[in-house]
This record gives sequence, C-alpha cells and structure tokens, in this order.
Amino acid sequence: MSTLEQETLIKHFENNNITTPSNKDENWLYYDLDGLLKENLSKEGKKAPGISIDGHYLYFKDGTLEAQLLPNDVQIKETTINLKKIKDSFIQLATHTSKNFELTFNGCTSDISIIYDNSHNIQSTALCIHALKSNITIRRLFLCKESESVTNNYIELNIQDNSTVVINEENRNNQAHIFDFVDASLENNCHLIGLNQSYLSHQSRFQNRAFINGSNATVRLNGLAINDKNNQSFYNTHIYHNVGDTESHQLFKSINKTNALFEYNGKVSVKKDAQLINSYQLNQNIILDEYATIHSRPQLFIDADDVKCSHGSTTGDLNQDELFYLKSRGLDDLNSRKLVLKAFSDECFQHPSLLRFKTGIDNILDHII
Amino acid sequence: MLKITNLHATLNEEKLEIIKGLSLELEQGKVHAIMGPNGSGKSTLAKLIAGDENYEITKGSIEFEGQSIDELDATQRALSGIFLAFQYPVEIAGVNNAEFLRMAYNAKQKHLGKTEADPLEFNDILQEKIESLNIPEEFLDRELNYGFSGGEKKRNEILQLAVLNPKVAILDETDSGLDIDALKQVSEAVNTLKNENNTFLIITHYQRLLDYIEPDYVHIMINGQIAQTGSKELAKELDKKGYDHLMATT
Repeated sequence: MSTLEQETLIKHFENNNITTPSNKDENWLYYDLDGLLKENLSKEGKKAPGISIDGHYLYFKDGTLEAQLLPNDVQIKETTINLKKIKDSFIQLATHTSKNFELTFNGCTSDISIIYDNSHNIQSTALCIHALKSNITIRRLFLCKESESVTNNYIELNIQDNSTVVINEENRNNQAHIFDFVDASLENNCHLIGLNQSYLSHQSRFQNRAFINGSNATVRLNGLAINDKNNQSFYNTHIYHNVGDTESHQLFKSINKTNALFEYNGKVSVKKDAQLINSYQLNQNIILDEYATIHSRPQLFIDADDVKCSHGSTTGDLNQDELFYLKSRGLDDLNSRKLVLKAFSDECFQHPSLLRFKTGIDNILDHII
Repeated sequence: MLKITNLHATLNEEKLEIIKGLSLELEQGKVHAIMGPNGSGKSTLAKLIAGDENYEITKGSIEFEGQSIDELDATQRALSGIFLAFQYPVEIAGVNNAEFLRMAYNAKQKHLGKTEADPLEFNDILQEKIESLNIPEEFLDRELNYGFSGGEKKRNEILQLAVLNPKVAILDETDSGLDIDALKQVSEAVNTLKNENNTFLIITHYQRLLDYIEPDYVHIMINGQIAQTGSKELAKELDKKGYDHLMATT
C-alpha cells in the first residue's frame, strides 16, 4: 500500500482556502491534530465488505453516493449548503465536496439509514435534510475500519411544521478518524432527539449544534462512549435557545479504559428574550483504570432572567459500595462490575425513541471488563 | 455454625482499630441479638462477616461450619450461605429488582450444582415469596432500591433474604425506619424463615424488635468487644438501665 505525504490533510484545507483548526479553538483544545497530521493516509482504497441494508438507505462509498433506496415521496437532489456559523474547518471541508445533497420529507413517517463506508484518504460528505410535517428516524452507521483514513461528514437538519427527527450515530469498532457534524434548526413545536454512540473506536469526534428558533420546541441529546485502551472520543454540543418556551436536555456518559481520552464540551446559550426555557445538561464518566483522561466542560451562557438552567458533571471509578452490595448477594466480581456498568449505560437509552438503538452493549462491556 | 475468635479489625484507610478482640459463636437453630451504643462496632462486625474489603482483619479469625472464611471474598461468603441485610441498602438505578433477584438466585443454584431458574420459573418462586411476606408486586418492577423509602428498602432486604435462604442471616438495624405495621411484617417474615438449620444475628438498638423476634441470646457489644451475654431478659434490663453502667466497667 502506498501512502500520501504527511501534509495531505493540510493540502486538502489549502486547496479549499480553509484554515486548519488550531489549539486556540476551544472545540479542538484536546484533539490531537498534530498526531493526525503525522499519520500516513492510505491512498488506495480496499474493497468494501459486502453489506446488507434493510429498509430505506443512502450508501456513501468513499464520499460518493453509490446506492440509495428512498421512499417514493422523498426526493433527493444536488444542492449548495450555506453554513450558519462558519468557524469549524472540518465542516467547511465537508461542504466542499463535489456534490452536496438535499433530502425533503414532507408529511411522512420514515426510517432511513445512512451508511458511510470509507476505506482510505480523507472522505467528506454533506447532506441537507428538510423535515416538514414529518416524523423521521435517521440511523447513521460508520464503516471505517482502516486507521489510515479520515471520515468527515456534515448534516444540516431543517425541522419545521411540527416535525420530529430522531437521529442516531453509531461508531463501532472503527479505526478511522471520524469527524461528524450535525447542525439542526427547529421551528415551532418541533422536536429533535439525538444519540451519539462511540464504542471501541480509535477516534470519534461528534459535534451537535441545535438552533431552537420556535417556541415549544425541544431538543434531547444523549451520548455514550465506551473507550477501550487508547481510544479517544470528543462530544461537543451547543444548543442555542433563541426563543422562549423551549426545552433542551443533554445526557452524555463515558466508560474509559487505560489511556483513553474523553471530552464533553457542552454549551447552552440562552438569548436575552428567550424566557421560560428549561435546560439541563449532565456528563458522567467512569474511569476503569488509573490513567484515563477526562475533560468535562458543561457550560451555560444565559442572558435571560426567567429560566431554569442547570448542569452537572461527575467522574470517578466504579462505586465500591454498589459492588460490595452485589457481591454480598452472590454475584461474582465480573458480573457485579458488568451489572453496574450496564445500569450506568442504560440511562442513555431511556427515551422511547432511543430504546431501539440499544444493541450489542452487553458484548461491548464484556470486551472491556 | 459461625465462630469468631479474638477478632481484631481496622478500617483500611484510617488504620483505626474498631473491633478489639471480639469472640462470638452463633449456634445453629438459634437467634442471636447484638445490642450496643453507637460506635461500638456492630455494623463493622456485620460487614466483616460479609467480607467487606474496606476492613482488614489484623488478628483472630472467623470460621463458618468449621472452615476459616478469612480468605474468602464477599461473593464466596454469600454463596456459602452468609447473608447481610444492610443498615443502608445501596440504591442502584437501572438494575431491575426482579432480574437482580434472579441473578442472585441463579448464582447460588449454580454454586450448589442445581438447575438455574428461567424467568418464568423464577417468577413463580418470586410470587410465592412476595405473597408470604405481604410485599407489593410492584416492588419487582422497580429498580434496585432506587427511590425506595427507608422502610421499603428494609422490606426488600427481607425479600432477598427469603429468596436466597441463607444459613447465616445478619440483620443490621433492619428495624430502623420501619413503622409499626412494617416492623410486625418484617418480624413475622423472620420468624417464618428461621428454622433449625439456620441462625440469625440481629443487630438492633431497641427492645421493641425483640418483642416480636424472640432471641435465644442477647450480646452486648461495647468498644469493639462483647461485654456481656445473656438471655432475652438482658435486653429488657438494658431498656431500663441503658449502657452507662456497662461502659464504666469495660
């Protein structure tokens, strides 16, 4: 296999007149970009594994929309994506792909899978999804087994006319660098339920931004990372309460082995006139070994004076009192630890729309205990 | 059945000696009560017997059915038949109560070389237990002690006791937090569960519980030692006189 020069990533940015993120940017403070730049990126793709997909789907192979099966009333077309706040270089890189796509769901209830199957180099996709009077469930899966690649995807969600969007991202057992960005804007009476899952993967970087522009709109963002040795995951969220009478809830958890790194950088901004909002963010982390690193930064920026906003963060090892209690009933150490971790993880799925995405957690816990 | 000889133990973190040469023998088929002032080491003793690794035995030994259990961990002690009903049962959100009970029951069945119960079989076992203990069925669907009131937690401990049917049952202040009716129900449950093959060690501050569960022996624990042993009359005497006269002589 041949490899590209170390400067590949920088060249990609330069070719598109984009500045590479630096450590001055808070969102990239703990991300090892230098390490990424030093890695060789594979130029030649490997043959994709055969996959079978149930239901409706979009299948991106190395950044190209290679296959699709959509409901009859859903149209896909090429488009140009205009970014709302352009500061993040990797978002810009994604939108500089040769083809950006636009999907419109109007008055329908649909489930759709979006598969990103990347084998080499730097692959980007950008997609804009409109939900009008619709209930949509989007399941995004990453098939990026090769360590010598970068997967860079951007999704813009426009949620309007009493629509609800459930979006689930799953990064399981992948070795690539995953840079994933979701920007959602919500109008009146619209709802977004998001779930970020990263399990036993080399590097996951999920960024979710929600712009709540209509009253009675709600956002729930949950996330769970289970990091094996040397795995890294970064969950960045920013919820903008631009109007009053809105709600947002965030719950992000992580379980970490030796030398794992987890970052939760969560922000909630409340505009001056956005009164009567309810916002809560909680980050909880368990360190299974001595040398894992956690950066937890829940942050509130509140300019309104009649709101309920709170946040919390905990980091520690497994609760020894809980383990002793379980052992005192005859459960062995392994099963006791697994039961405590399973209970810890399960909370991330405790929403009717998210329960269906709780798959394979037992096996993952078996692997890391 | 359980023999403790000249036991000395410290809290690991602080190296503070709490148990200071305690000897005690629990007889099969008997109910033993331990009473004592706050801080005398009663709960520490209970946790030591159950295998809490926060405490270190520095001298002496604990034997169960003629074998030292000093080297056994909490799991092995539980599987061999030792049960501790906690003074403050731990809340574990996300763990279903019934499923946890089935896991514990099956762990013991497996240890004994018996067939493990599938969910349907175990449900029948549970139904029988909750009916006999007068425990509401909704206990089973709740998370393990999570959101339970103090009294509910204690009743849940008794349910676990009934399901696991241990040889040695230690009840650490199970009467605290119980109202009068619940106290009667818990006492009746214990009276139903005690038999000639097991032994109960009841730690309590109050004579009231011993009105319902009649002890064969009452031990007074002061400053990490058994200061006096007597019959149930000793508990009544304590109720009148308090601990002061015993502490002065210890």
